[in-house]
Amino acid sequence: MSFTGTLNQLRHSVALRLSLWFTVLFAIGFTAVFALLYVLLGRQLEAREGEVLQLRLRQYADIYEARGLDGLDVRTEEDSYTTHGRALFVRLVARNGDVVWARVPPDWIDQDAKNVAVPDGWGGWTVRKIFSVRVPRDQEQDLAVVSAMLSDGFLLQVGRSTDNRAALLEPLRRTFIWVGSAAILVGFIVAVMAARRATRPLHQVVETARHIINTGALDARVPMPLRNDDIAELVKHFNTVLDKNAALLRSMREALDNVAHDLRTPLTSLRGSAELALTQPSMDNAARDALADCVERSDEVLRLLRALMEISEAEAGVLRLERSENDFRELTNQAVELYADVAEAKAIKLEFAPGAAVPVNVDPVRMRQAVANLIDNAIKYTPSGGAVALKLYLESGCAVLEVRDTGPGVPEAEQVRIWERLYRGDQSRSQSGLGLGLSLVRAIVMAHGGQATVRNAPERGAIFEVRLPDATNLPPAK
Amino acid sequence: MRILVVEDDAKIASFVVKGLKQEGYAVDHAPDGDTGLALTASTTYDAAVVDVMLPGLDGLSLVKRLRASRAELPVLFLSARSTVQDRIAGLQAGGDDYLTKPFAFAELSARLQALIRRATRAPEATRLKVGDVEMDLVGRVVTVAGLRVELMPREFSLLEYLLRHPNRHVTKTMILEHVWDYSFDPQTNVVDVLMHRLRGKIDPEKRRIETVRGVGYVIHGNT
Repeated sequence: MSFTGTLNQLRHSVALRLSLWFTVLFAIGFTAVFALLYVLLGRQLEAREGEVLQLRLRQYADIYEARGLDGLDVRTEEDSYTTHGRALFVRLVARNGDVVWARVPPDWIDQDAKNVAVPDGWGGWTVRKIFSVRVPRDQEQDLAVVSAMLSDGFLLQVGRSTDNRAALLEPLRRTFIWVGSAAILVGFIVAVMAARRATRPLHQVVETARHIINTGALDARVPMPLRNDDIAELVKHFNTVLDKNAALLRSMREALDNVAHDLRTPLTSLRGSAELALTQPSMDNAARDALADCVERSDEVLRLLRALMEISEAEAGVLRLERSENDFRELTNQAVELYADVAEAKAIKLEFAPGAAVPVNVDPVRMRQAVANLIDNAIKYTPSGGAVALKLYLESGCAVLEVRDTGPGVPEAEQVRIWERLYRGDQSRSQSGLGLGLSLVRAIVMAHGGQATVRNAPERGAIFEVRLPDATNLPPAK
Repeated sequence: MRILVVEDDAKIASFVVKGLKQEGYAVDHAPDGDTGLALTASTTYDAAVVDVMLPGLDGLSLVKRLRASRAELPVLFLSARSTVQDRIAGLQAGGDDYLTKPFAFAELSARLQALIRRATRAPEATRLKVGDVEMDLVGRVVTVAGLRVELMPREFSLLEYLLRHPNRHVTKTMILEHVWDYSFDPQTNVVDVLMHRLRGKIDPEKRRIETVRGVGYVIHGNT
């Protein structure tokens, strides 16, 4: 199957659509749950951090109150060497905003000095250094600061960079990226599998229907799904319809068989008795003629019966075809050979130039009969000295046979009707035949899934055309 | 030559028995399978004509049982069913040939003769001669009253078929099958046309090949 074909099939696959929807919903749900988790966790961390800072703040405030700035200095110095926990930023700020004292953690950029020109008292400019403390590394990291007013009017501030939080949440985000995509992928695969499983009975229904249409194998059934759900019900009913169909066709076939059998048996004995009597040497001519009429008429009735049976069966779709790989060219050639003498006797040029092989999967006996009937018909309507030309070719995968004669052609109004059972156009009243030849051609061709048509040649005569479907893509012979 | 006919339809059985007796065979008739099987146990036959559909023991089972005990008897099946499957079923059951109803008696007789000839393993002739018509099958030469006649392949094939059945009726269906390998009736009678041409070459006075209306053709050896 071609790539576009597969793509087209995918687009029309319920299973794929279901799994895509499932995957999208799954992804949205997964992301939402994660986002909620992330936010909650972040809040929690922030709260915890705040509590820790508040605790420290109270400790340092107590120390300052008890032992003054020196005591605080010593204590913060000690604290900055402890291994656990992050170093804190602590400072005392006076009411006017001046920093009285500060301790900056070692991983902070201590001082960022900038030379700035400022006006001096004498109307000139002097260069002074402005110092600022910068939060380490990058700006994404926040600074959590708590402060408390001390009894002497100074403001004690304790701060900490929040990279602790970032350090926890960042891996979580990264994890989400790949766990999330992996989960969505797995979800998609699972969804596809589940959807395929769920729709498998539907595919089997389609496959079975197609199989029956293509091969006429009426005994094909859809296997029952294991689970007893609504799809199982569909399958059950579909199978029941197939059963009823098959039973109807079977009884019809049997009825036809029985009719044929019941007619054939008395006709056989009628014909046999007459034939045997004809071989007796002692018989007068009148009796001989009467008996010969009996035999000839019973042959005619039998031929009619056989043709009607075949046409009825083909029209009902129960004609049993013995399909096999054949060269259409060979079948046509054999039919042409059969009529070579007849055409010659009527001084008609019967032409067939076989070209390349035309492989077809057909019932060779019936197809040869169809071709023979077309040639028979063409010869019948072509006057002496005319020509019947056959052309066989492949056209976009179809095997096409054209039978062109130089007869009077078929009036447009009759081009459809001539294929009907027992229909005979005005011109053919004088001709012999049962008027079933073309119906049989159409029945046989249609049983093979092909088409039989007629049109008039622009110059003169009729062109009968048989078109058999894609010869290379037929189901294998059964 | 003794032949057993197992056929439940009395009328068909009657003309088959009568016809075979006319041809000089001794004939026994059994109206059902069980009687037929009993007859084969007590009598030795050269061939059997068996209808496939019989009351009681059907034709296929009868021949299967027959084959299990006595393998030699050539069997010709008669059946109203004409599909390939039916034909295959008949041959698989042990039948040697299969004839579909309706059939011409001439064809039944010719096929039966062929079966018996095959069973007795008569050597294949390389020359055929009927009256003053001679055919050399190896050199593919035909002479009529000593004069060489040139025949087209299909004419040769038709004449060969007639010569192989001298003084016997040959039907158009049999000729179609033999000359063209066709098993259905074309609407236009292609056999008549070919016969007309053959006659023009070897029998312009219509003395050698007789047309029996309703039956077929006979080539006579006593001209």
